[in-house]
Amino acid sequence: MEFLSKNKEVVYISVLGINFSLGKFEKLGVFDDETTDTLIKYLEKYNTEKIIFDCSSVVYKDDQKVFERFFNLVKYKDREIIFFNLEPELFERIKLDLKNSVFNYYVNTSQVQYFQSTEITSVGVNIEDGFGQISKDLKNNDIEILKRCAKDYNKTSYQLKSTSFWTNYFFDISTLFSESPRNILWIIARLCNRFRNIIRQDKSVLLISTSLYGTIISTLMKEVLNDSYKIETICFNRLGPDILINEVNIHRKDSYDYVIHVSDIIIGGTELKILKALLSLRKLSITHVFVIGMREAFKDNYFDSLIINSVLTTNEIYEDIYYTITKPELS
Amino acid sequence: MIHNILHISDIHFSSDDDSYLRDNQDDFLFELVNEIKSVESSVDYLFLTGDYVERSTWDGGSVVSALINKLEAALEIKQTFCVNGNHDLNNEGFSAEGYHMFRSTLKVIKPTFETDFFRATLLSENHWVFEFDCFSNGKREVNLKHEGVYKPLKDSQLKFFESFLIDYLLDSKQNIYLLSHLPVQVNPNSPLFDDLQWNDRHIWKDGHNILELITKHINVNLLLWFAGDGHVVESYKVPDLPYFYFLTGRFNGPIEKYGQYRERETAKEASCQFLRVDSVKSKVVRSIQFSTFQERYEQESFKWYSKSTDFINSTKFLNKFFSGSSKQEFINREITKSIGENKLYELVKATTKQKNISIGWIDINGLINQDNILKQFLECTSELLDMEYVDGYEDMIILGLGYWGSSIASFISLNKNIPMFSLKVRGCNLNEYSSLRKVIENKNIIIASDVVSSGETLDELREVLNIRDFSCLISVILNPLISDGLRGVDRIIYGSNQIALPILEREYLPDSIINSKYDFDKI
Repeated sequence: MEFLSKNKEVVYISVLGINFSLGKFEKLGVFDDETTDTLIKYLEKYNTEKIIFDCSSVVYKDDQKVFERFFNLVKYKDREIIFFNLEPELFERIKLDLKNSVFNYYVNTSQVQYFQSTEITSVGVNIEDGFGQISKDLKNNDIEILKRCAKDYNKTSYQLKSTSFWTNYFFDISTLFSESPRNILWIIARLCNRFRNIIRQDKSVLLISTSLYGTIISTLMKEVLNDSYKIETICFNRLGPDILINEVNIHRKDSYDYVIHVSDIIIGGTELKILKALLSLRKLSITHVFVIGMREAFKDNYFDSLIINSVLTTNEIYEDIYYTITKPELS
Repeated sequence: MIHNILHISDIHFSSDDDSYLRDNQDDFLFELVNEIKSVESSVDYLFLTGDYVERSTWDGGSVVSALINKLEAALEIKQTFCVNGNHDLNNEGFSAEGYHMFRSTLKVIKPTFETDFFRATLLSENHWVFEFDCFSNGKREVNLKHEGVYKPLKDSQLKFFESFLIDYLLDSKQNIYLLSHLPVQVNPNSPLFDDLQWNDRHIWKDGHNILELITKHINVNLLLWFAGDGHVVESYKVPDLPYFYFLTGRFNGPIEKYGQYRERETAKEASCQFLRVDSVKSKVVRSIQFSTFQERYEQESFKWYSKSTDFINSTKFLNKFFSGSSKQEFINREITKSIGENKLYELVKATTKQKNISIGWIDINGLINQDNILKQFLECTSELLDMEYVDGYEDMIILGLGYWGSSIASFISLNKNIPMFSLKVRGCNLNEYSSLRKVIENKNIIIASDVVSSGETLDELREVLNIRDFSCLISVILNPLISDGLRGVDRIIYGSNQIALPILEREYLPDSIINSKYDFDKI
């Protein structure tokens, strides 16, 4: 998947998608020299008049003046280049690199425009189609990846061990790591995108995980987001009746602005409920929940007064997925 | 200036016990020499750091002497350096004849400077070897007839050493190889510290003074300390030294009593390491530890080496291999410092294992949350892996042990595109892993863990997965107690190896202690 949409006039490219195709974990969502080189390659590959780089969820993290270098490279390309959906930090960085506060920047024969996400209408070209297509591509990629970790029990049905539901698909996140590690990278990036959109920067964040893969996901998120957030992580080795209260040892700080539960897939919410009860003993309450996948029922609904943020819902992955309390009768 | 050095210690040969060594010298030599020659054609210097025989009667001295002579010839060694150990002398007033005779058979050349307590030899310009004989004959408080006595250096002797340094080594940057039987540092919090039985025999208290004088007067380019006597499990790297190589015995030694409990003793087993030292770059460019795991104390037939090559593994400590890497040194220091400053280490708590209990608990949750420690560790690990696996990561699999081990594994997995599996370290279910056994067949396995304290989990894993060797072990904390005692691990990368976790065998502990998870104050 190239993460781009094109017609005769415009090519619309997701920079995050490009980053993903570069395959370096530490580069994901980061605009740096390597990203610049790749963008130039795309400029050379597609000869449309306009080329739009969607920088959604791409951050700046480099000591080099990457944009100055970029603009020098596109000087004589005779193109109209639009940076769109810029994160505030990246937006400011461009301004700094260009020593210019206007949105249009002419470098010899090329014109470069750059916009923050709020200025979508200022772009001046019909990007809605491109944007829609890219969103679809991104989501399809999510679905494709998560489908790889699902086991199909359509003919037999399967009872989940963690909660009392029967289902026809069982998701095993470990498959993502064992079969195609790069794919989990994408999922983490997508989860971090949601995180960035919701959680304010420069606030103290505690990520709490209660399962093996929840811990892995929260640690990966911490490393991806570490530059913009003050994040601590904690995992509870086992969450159940035998957990010792003194294992809930989270008194590194008096309080956190955000206490976030991170998990892989949430179906019944049992773990979350136990965690809430345990944390209440320490006078902490969960403020947000971030997961890779969740049961459709949680979408746009409060669960125990919490909104669950998920990359996908289970129904988005499989339309025919069901969760029932009693064992379904199969024909 | 490049020097190839072979360091051997603690052979503890006994003609009664070691019929295998006596009868199979050639087998042993063949394997050892082959191992070394696979990386270097010859060795410049042989460093021997004591305890050549088990008993100072020197009944088997000739066997050891013949073995060393053969090594000297096979590896074309230019010169041998040799200091005594407590087992090489006795406290009944006998002369040190056996040891001196043994020494005279070796390729020992007259030192540049010699006094009653140390010898100094100038190898080449600004390259010195210091040999300290820590023991002499004489009465000792602890009644061990067959051991020599440690006599602390007098003030006059230390002053003499100081004036030697000023006279001979003051002017330019010096490279020093220091040999002593006893190691130098022990954690003052250790229960061993106050135990005379151990303290008197296994810690070189003068080591601190010697170090202080060297660092005070000499502009040191490179200082490598070669020591033996691996009893003192909590000896660890002296932070202020450029490098400090401490040679222990194996973890799988006999059980010895200290205090009211018994601890696995780590010595009485020969170990050796090969080092390629580049003094211009001021680092050790190659280090191979030859694991001489042996079972002579655990089996009735006392064999020094098994005939199988399993027991001569060469474990590469990648951190040491790249010990010029200031980043790794920095991480080692940072982790240790962070654990100390943030009180993330408690000696009285214990983690429970099947066979052993490690006294000491590290709050790995807390450590991971320290500023960027995990990130730096992972970056450094990633670099070391790339330098080692230059041909790429095909046919590799990474297994993460437990929560944090799995998190570490996930980074490496994503970064290098290596398939990864997570394992719960406790309660391995044979059926659960039957599919994994098929997947890992014929693969090179990297293990990622947070703390390796006794290595027992690795042994279990080896059994459960039916595999023999691991290609690499990555661990944030590696217990120095077993740091060179891990079997079947080709390469080791650690974040810190300075936090010692004493290991006690469960069977020697009262049930009340085993069953109380956190109430270890009684110890």
